[in-house]
Amino acid sequence: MVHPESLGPLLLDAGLVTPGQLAQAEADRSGAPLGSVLVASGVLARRDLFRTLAAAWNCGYLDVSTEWLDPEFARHDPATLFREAWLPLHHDDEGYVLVATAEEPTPERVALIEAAVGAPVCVGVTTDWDLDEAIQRAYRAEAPAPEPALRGARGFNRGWLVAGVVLLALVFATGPTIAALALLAGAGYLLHAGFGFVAALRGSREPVTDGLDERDLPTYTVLVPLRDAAAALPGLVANLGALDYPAAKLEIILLLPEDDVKTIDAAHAAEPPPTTRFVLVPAGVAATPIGLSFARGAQVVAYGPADRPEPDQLRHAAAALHRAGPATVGVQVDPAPVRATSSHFRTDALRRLGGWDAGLDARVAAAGCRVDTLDSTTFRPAADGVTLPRGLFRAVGVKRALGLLLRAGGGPATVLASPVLYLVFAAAVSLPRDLLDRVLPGWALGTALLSLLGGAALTVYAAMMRAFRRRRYRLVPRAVLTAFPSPRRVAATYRALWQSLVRPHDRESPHGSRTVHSGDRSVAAVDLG
Amino acid sequence: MAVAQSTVVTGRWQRWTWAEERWPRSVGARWLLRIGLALPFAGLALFASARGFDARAAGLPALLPAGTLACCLATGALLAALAERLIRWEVPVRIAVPLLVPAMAFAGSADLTGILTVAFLALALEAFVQFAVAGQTEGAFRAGLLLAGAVLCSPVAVGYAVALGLVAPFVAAERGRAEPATWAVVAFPALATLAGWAFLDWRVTDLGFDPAVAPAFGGALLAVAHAPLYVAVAVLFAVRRPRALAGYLVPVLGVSLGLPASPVTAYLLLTVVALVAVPRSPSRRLATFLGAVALAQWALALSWPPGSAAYDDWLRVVWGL
Repeated sequence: MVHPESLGPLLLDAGLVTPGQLAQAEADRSGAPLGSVLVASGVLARRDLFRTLAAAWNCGYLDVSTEWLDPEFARHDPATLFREAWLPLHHDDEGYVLVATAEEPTPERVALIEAAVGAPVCVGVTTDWDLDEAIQRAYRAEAPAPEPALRGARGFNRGWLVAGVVLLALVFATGPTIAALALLAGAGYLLHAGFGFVAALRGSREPVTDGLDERDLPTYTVLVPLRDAAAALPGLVANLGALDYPAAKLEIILLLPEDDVKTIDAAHAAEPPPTTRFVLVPAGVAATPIGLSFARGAQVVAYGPADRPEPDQLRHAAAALHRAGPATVGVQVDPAPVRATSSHFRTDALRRLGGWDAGLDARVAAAGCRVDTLDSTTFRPAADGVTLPRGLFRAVGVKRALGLLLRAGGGPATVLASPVLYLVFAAAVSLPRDLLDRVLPGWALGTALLSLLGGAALTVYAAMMRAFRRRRYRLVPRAVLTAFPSPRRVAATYRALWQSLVRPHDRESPHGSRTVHSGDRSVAAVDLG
Repeated sequence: MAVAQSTVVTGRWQRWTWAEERWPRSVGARWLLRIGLALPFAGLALFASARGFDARAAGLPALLPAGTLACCLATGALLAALAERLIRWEVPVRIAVPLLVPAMAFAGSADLTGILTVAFLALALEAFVQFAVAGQTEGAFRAGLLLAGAVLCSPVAVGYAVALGLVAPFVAAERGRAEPATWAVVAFPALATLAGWAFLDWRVTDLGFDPAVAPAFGGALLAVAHAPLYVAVAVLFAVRRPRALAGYLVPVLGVSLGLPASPVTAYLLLTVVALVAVPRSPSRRLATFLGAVALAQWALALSWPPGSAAYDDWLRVVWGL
């Protein structure tokens, strides 16, 4: 979508953005539309953007969530409506057909819509996400109500055992326990920070996109089908947040089963990036085809809830497909140490080929196309009974496997360790030295503080290097904040750890109301039947 | 048949690519070179030890085990880096002759803090010039990290980081670098190291943190007088790259603030900085000029050597001079 040149001044006049925010967005555009950059950065609400666009296009704005959808018009191909971004709603008082659109209603476009509808139309503008939701609502049958699942049996509980042991150790061996916790936390924190630092340092020497200019990066859609994945949500959000791709060109779609209320609530609570959409999928229906129909990106990839792609994987894939000829419709991550997901496709080509399924390889070959390999890795923790390290080390070699393991477990471990270390830091600053010596030996205190200070410095400088290398100069001073994980993220990670200890195979569905809208985030529910 | 000249000209101040610049090419050969260059200094250290000389380090390097061995290895690494720089940039190695003086033998075998300070600061300056003049982003990162290493040797080195951070946006302005970002990338590691060291020194144990600044303006003049090669390269900068001159002159400011405090280390610092700042592939006339200046400096250093208490002690105990 091309946003009009007058958008910036209009947003300023409406007081929706400040001159500083507008200048920052202009600097961060990298070829993306101005409005998309503002929305992706969280500065502007999506509905405010489209209200302003409606004014710029001399149209009215429609809140389609409150509009009646006349079943008479549910005869158009929904995929076409989705692609062309319009939907007939109902007849208005003057006999015109009221049509919602998320694209500029040029005379040519209005003529095409009138031809398709077969009647004069009155066009109103709505947001792209609200339009998608309305299209799905128009073509949706009533989905069966979710059946409450059986509550899991309560028995012996690992979480309570671990908590009890730690509590007893703190009471009866306070000093050694605190020292052990501090040292363990320090070692994990420093190791992960060092790993991230080395990765950032190496990244400064190796151009990621191999000649593909930042402005030429394609729009990208990341699909994540979720089921019973409430505990994985904090980690998933962290992994998605770590993807190094311009936010304005990145669309993340979480595909949530309608009957999995817990995952839906967890998805809302995890507060994913502003470019994330929630799509509700009926039970028993494959989620990725639905996600593919929603994808607006020029390229698309699907990840599992526990997948941890290398942060620059999208850039590598974009560069690989940019270099490859038109016969190459996708690139497949290779080696895939645990499972062969993370195949990146040109979205149009994948739709033509019928989407991901077991027969995709054959259809690609039959169409005279090919899928190349991509030198990147997506890590996924082992399922029960899988000897992960051995297989991983065999598959990718010792050096890379160690890196993958650190990347996989390092992030959550760092979040878990940081409160312990900051508590030690606060104690070192506030408590008298002799009192401190009675609780924590000097060498343990020094090691823990050195780990915290060294790890924090490495983390901050790694973030600075990444921002500087990408010419996001305004982000460089803000990198200091990376030393402090947000309390919300810390709480979510501890909650996930607790749940994994207490209810590792939890399938229960708690009672409570379902949220279908969360602020500016649209949630679409679909039915393929 | 006439051959058209390439339209892509690599500037004399630029690296081509990181991989192309390495010399020797293999990692093993580079380590062999470092160890080979460290061996003479190790022999010298053993000889000095046998004659009863007790080498002492200051700052955090004093905490390193096997300080003498670390000193020799650091010297080998510094000389190997210098050799790599000169050879890959097609600069005649003979202009390194001012390093063939007793002061280098002393620092390389017995002054761990001094040689580390010289190595960190000189290589940081080289990386900074790479960033400022050739626009190599990685140069800013290397400069920042090497300055942090220098702070570990002496807290006063943070002055170099601040000075380079301040001049960085000025010398790199033509490349559109944002000022706070450039300042942060160059100065943050040194400032963070300083703050961390000060905190640990305060709350945990005495780590020898001594941020005292001892201005020595006379010492700076003396150091410059001992290093005409440094002056000659400064003139080159003034003529060809006036913007980068501000960064090149930072060591003089540092010496005037008291780092390095020792005239011997200051001599080595200015000499090594001059060597790593010589532009790529100098013309025959320029190479001859620099060679002559280097020879003059070498003669000057032998006839009018820089001195310090530790150096004089080393000369007396080991050589009986």
